[in-house]
Amino acid sequence: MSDSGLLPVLVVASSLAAGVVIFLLKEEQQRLRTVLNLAAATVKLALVGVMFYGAVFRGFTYEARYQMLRDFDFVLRVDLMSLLFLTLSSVLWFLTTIYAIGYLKGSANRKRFFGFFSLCVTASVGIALAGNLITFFIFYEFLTLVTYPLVVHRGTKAALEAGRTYLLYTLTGGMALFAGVVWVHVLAGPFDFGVTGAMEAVAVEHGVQVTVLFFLLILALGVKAALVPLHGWLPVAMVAPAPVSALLHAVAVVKAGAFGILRVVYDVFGVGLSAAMELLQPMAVLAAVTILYGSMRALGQDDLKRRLAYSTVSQVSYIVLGAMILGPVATIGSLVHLVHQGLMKITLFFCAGNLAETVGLHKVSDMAGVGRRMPWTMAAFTVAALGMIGVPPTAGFVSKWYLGLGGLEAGQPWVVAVLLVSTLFNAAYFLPVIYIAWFRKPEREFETHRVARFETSWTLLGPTLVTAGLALGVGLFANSIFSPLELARASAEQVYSIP
Amino acid sequence: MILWLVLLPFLALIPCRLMPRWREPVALGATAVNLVLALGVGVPVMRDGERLWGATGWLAWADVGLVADGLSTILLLTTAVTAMAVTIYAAYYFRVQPGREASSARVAGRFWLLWLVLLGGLNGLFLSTNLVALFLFLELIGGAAVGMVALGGSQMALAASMRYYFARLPGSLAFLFGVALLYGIYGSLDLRALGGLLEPSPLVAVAAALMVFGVVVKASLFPFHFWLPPAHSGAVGPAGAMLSGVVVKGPFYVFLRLWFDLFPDVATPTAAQCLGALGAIGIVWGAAQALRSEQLKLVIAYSTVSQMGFLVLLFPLLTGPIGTAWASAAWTGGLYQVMSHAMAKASLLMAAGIVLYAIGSDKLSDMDGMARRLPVTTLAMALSCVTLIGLPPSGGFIAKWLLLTATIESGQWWWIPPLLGGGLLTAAYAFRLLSYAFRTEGRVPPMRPVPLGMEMMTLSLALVAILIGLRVQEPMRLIEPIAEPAGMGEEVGHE
Repeated sequence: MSDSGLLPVLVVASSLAAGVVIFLLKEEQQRLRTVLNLAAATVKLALVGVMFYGAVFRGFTYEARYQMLRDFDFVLRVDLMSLLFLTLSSVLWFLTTIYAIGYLKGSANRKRFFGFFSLCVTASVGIALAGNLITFFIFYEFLTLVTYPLVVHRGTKAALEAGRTYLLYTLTGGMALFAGVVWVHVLAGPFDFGVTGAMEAVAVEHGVQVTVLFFLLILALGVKAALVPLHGWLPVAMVAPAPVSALLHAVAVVKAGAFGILRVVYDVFGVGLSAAMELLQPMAVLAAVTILYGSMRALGQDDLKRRLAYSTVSQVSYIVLGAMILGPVATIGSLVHLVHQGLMKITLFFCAGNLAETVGLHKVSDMAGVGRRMPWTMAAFTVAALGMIGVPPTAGFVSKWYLGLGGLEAGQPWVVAVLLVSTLFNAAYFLPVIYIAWFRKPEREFETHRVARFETSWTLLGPTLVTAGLALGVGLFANSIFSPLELARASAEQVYSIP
Repeated sequence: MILWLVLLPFLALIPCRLMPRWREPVALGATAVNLVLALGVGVPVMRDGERLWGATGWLAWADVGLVADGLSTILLLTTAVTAMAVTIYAAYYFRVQPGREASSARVAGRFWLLWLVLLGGLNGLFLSTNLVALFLFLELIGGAAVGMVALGGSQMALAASMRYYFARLPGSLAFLFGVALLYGIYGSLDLRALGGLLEPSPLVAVAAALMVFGVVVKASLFPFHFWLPPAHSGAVGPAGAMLSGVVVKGPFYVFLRLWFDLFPDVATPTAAQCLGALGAIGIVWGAAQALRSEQLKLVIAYSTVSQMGFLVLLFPLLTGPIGTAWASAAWTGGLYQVMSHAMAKASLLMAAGIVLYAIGSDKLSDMDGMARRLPVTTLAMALSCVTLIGLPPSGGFIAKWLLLTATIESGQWWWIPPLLGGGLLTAAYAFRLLSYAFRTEGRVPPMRPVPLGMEMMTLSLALVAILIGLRVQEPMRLIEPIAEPAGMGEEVGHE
């Protein structure tokens, strides 16, 4: 065993430092900024790679601890669950940085954008590494703050309005979470993730408080995870530039909520306590309702990004649903969907951004024949959309398979029904897009906002193709030892203490 | 050393009086030495606990004692740090003030005199244990503050300063009358000696009520806040920062002393709950007014009314019906709120001064695109807002964390809504400010270049407010020892 606290700190510091330095640069120092961005992203990727190898194959533990108050510590620690989220965010940050550099070429206030962009990643990496509830909360609120300037980046009335809605939801959720975190602290004392005895010890004496706490925490986190009826901010936040939406939907904000819910269920209350107190069923129903509601609303949207946003509402709740069904298989489904949904959704948003930037398309109904103009983009879109529907052998299929199986294993066959209905909805709102784009004749000449060697500039196309490839690859090679599925399986075994 | 903390600013008045041209460097130097002295007192107090400068020698006849304990030291240090940043800022501020050169220089000259009086008064207040000395220092601070508001020069500033003066008057009289009553009964003016002698009686209760009324008015706690917003928003930039950040803490400090050292037996839980209720209303009222204001400085001034409400919540949390495990949390939380609010609020008003200077208006609607044009100032404002809202990582977060812990531990769940809801309301007006800074749609007024030093001082004060949330040990060591003996010991015995 090698105990190293340096690596987790460096992983957080790499993007934090990049963010701070970017703020100190001048707006015109564009090349330096780009180099810095990419270097930091690369360094982070390498560090995560080292920790991945160490934690998974060598059984190393990485932990950094700093005493903040007498009775609480600031803890960064790597466990398998954090590795899942950590790898996802560092890989996608790298790709999104490239994308954003291309996307924002020539627009104003890029320094501010990339500065906050780096801080945003710092926050999500911190959330992944947080070793206790307090550290988690600190990064969770930090994320709210640094995302705000990204949402209002354009400074238009609509953007400011969206920013207000975003803050109203997330800060209120944050305050509720704050109350919950302090309450847990008062009730059970300080404890780290992975040590689940603390809540169990007080559950007998303070059953009611523990129950209330569970719902308080889940609902507070549910604001960011966009559980119905707390999802209102997500479709509105679509006014943000495409790379922001991509990151918001795939890694940063909604995932922070979903990941928090996973932490609360598995690491704060623990599966044993959650099962004993029968806390999960109502939340499973809420997740199911969210899945269906999101899909249904997605059907009615003509604006591509809005359609994708409602799709996110629905898809993220798969993660929540998996967490609320007890059983290792469902847990695997939930954890793996955390990664899979990220890969697929970021691809879709990249594609939406490509369409908007290159040919000025925002609406599904205008997309007739765009497949001829931008075949690669639409190919990536098709792969990701099929993945969302759950067509084998894409990533989405793997998640849905495990979720369904998990439902059956836990004796809750209704889960399968929910998945099936949702899949039908998914097909109903994605297949027409694919059909219109490939098979319908273009109604008019497409505008060209960007002249490039390929169908659009390579900085936009490259990341899109890579993420689409990943979305396909993690499904195809789900059994490889590097796949998210394998990591999710190992993590689930840890959660259920299966040797 | 403790004596010098009080004397130095007053001694510095002499060269200022004699050599008017040297006022600025003298004031700067005095503030710097003051910071060193405060640290010199703070470090040993933190290491060894209480440090007394007894009533010896020629001061003994007047029953005057100067004592630096943890509570005093925290306030001394907060004042010294804030004053340092504000002084440097002020030096730039008066140099770049446009137009009417002569009158501007005159304003600056008067400002520095008042500034030194204010600093000495605050130091004296935080160190004295004699009730009459407390009264005198309170009056000194009040007088300097009224003068600083009047320095604004406009008709409105004059009106505000008069209003300030007259609002304080009944408070001063009530306080003095209370002191006289106590002296009449017990024949002592020493805070600590009296604390041991006092026994609950109707007359003592009257004295307590009078003195508490006095400090409540002076600390502008709701519903006696009405004079504060026009005064603080009307004062010249650096003065407003000091008034809203530190000066309001002076009477509040006396309040703490009275409540926990002098009247622990008279201060009943019911009274504490009533105070807390007023505090809660104050939080909401101040925030609501802040949300409605269209002027940057007025928003910030109303924010002070609201934030002082959080401090008042300290009283019910400390005198609750159950045990004392949480009392220490409440005490530390309250003092953390004092520190972080002082620095964040001062930084905010300094930022407002910059905006006012740069674009010649502090209307919110004129702040378009400020995030781009004054990035450092905007960052400072944002960081200060983070502290005020209580978001991590910041001093404000630590304060809210501890107060919330105390609330839940003591089972006084009814204080959770004002604590958290107040935070949300703070967020509402804070982001209202910031969203104007990010807006790009309105017209962009021409802007004067701002000296970097001004912006940097503003930013560094905001950063200190954030940093005390990251590095908690040292302030904690100052705050915590007094939480047991002075604040709590006797009081809980009588519960």
